[in-house]
Amino acid sequence: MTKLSLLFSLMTVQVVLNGILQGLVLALLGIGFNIIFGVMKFANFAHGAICVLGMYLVFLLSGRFGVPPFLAGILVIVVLFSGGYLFERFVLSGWMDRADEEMPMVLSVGLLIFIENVVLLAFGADSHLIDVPLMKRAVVLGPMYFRSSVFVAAAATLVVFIFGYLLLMKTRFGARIRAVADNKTGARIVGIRIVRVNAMAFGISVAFAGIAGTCLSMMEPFTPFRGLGLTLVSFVIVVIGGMGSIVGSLLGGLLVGVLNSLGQYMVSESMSLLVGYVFLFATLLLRPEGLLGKGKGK
Amino acid sequence: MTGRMMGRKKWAGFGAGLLALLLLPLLLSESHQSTVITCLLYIYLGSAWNIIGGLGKQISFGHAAFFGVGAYTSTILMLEIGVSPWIGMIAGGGVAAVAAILLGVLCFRFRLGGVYFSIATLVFAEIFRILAINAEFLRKYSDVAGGLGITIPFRSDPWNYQFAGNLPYYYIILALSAGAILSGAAVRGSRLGYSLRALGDSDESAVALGVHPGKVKIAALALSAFLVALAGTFQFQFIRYLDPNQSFSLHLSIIMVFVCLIGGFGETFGVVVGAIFIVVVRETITSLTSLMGGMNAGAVSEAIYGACLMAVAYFFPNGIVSYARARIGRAKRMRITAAGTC
Repeated sequence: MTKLSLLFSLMTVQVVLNGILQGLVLALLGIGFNIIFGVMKFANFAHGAICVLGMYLVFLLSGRFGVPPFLAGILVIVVLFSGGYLFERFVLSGWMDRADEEMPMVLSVGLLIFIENVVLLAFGADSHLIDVPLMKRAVVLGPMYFRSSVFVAAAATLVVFIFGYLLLMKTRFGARIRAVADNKTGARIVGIRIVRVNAMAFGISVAFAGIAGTCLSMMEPFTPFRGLGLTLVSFVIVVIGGMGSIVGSLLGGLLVGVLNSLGQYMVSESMSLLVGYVFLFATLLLRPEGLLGKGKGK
Repeated sequence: MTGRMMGRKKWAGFGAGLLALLLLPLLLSESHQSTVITCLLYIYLGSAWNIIGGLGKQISFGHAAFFGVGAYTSTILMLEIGVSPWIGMIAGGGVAAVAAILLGVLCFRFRLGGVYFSIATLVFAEIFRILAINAEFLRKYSDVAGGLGITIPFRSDPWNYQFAGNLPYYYIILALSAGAILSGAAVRGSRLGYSLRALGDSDESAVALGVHPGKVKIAALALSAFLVALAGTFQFQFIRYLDPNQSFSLHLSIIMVFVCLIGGFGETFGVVVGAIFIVVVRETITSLTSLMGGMNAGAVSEAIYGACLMAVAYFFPNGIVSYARARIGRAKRMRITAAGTC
């Protein structure tokens, strides 16, 4: 192998690794969307905007008030979880049963636009990046360089993912959530309190968006306009992986992350977004239930 | 009052409104004319969106894709090979209809529809936006080096779809929106319209009655896309500047949803109310923010649109029209009982 091709392949390894790290975070975002869609049949178009809200809350706490970024991240998660829980409990629940099928989507698109423009008015259109002071140094793996906060964010994501997976798959609470997602009427008959499950699921979903936002804010620069793109990315991940499948979302996230990263390296930043979108349509064409989905969605 | 009499009253109102609008520009300044043009454009877009979104209950958040495709097709045809935008407008409609059929086949083939359709439309518009941003061969038409937008050169000539002053544009868009309302009403009363509304209410029962869901929805989407694309050509001959981030924006798609949501999904004349509402809100906010100074008027009005979307969806979970019908029905019943007791 010549020196040049070695360098090239090392570059590719670095690009793929970066993609995996980013894909982990995106997977978290997708899982959040997936939970809420599975349990409440609510396609939350504001999901990406909530993620952006998380970024700016971390920015506000750590940039303006000097709270250490990780403490800020935890605070943001607590705030977003309670916000989501209360929003579902007191605003959405009850309304969802009365509303026409398309109204929840309209409501969430309204929320997307609202959050995006409020953030824009409050923080301006400049791009920001959260830097973790202790971890400014780059991690050097042979000839490859990584910003170390990227690793920390990815590690945090992995922890949250394992925690979320165990919560959903191994606890009684998780079993209740899955039961409601599977069959609402059946779940009600066996005595599950749907209202409480819905509110918890909404809170968890919003918190996942917040965690993803916290991690992304340390990985790459962000602006208020990222919300729509992140919502679309979570759609793509969930459709590719399959509605209702947690492991599917993880696979989808990693796939989108790596493809994006390769696309950025080989073509251009904006064209790389196309890769994921093309994958979405290919999935709709070839396997509409997604890689790991059960049966067709309606 | 019977339904037919209601209908007649509405058509009389339509005729009177049209007549008034024919004479209105004589009283207006150029800038007020352009405000009314925007309002008429929204009526037109809303009517077109309503065919698939309102009648078929397939909520598209990406109709800007078809708007932009229409604008880009006619503009590229004009700049590259000198085709008149009037012909380009029809060609753009055709291209948009083909794109819509492709999208429709993907979304409706497995009877996915619903949420999948809404997601796919959004992504569809994003794909076109990214393609337009990256289209290198269009750079030479930008008046700024490296700019993304296209400036359309001004040569006043009716065949060139360009006129000095706003008045001709006013009458073009008036004709277009009257045509859109008429075709909306025609579709509503046609076999296609009845099939769509049946599918919008319940897929299963419509299928049981022999409606082919895929074909009907794809046809409606293609028709809707064709009409929206015509407006794309109109808009960019009018403002003579074509920007990929604006022509394929979520903002534009949402305006169409908003107009129909305010006026009631599937209501032929509701779009007029929706369009007036949206223009009044924007004008008010623009003047208020200019009074306060330094505020980002665009962001404020967008935030208010977002809040309005949420509020309307939340307080009228079955749509404004069904709410109004229920209220009118109750008032009538009360009047009848009151008359009975006398």
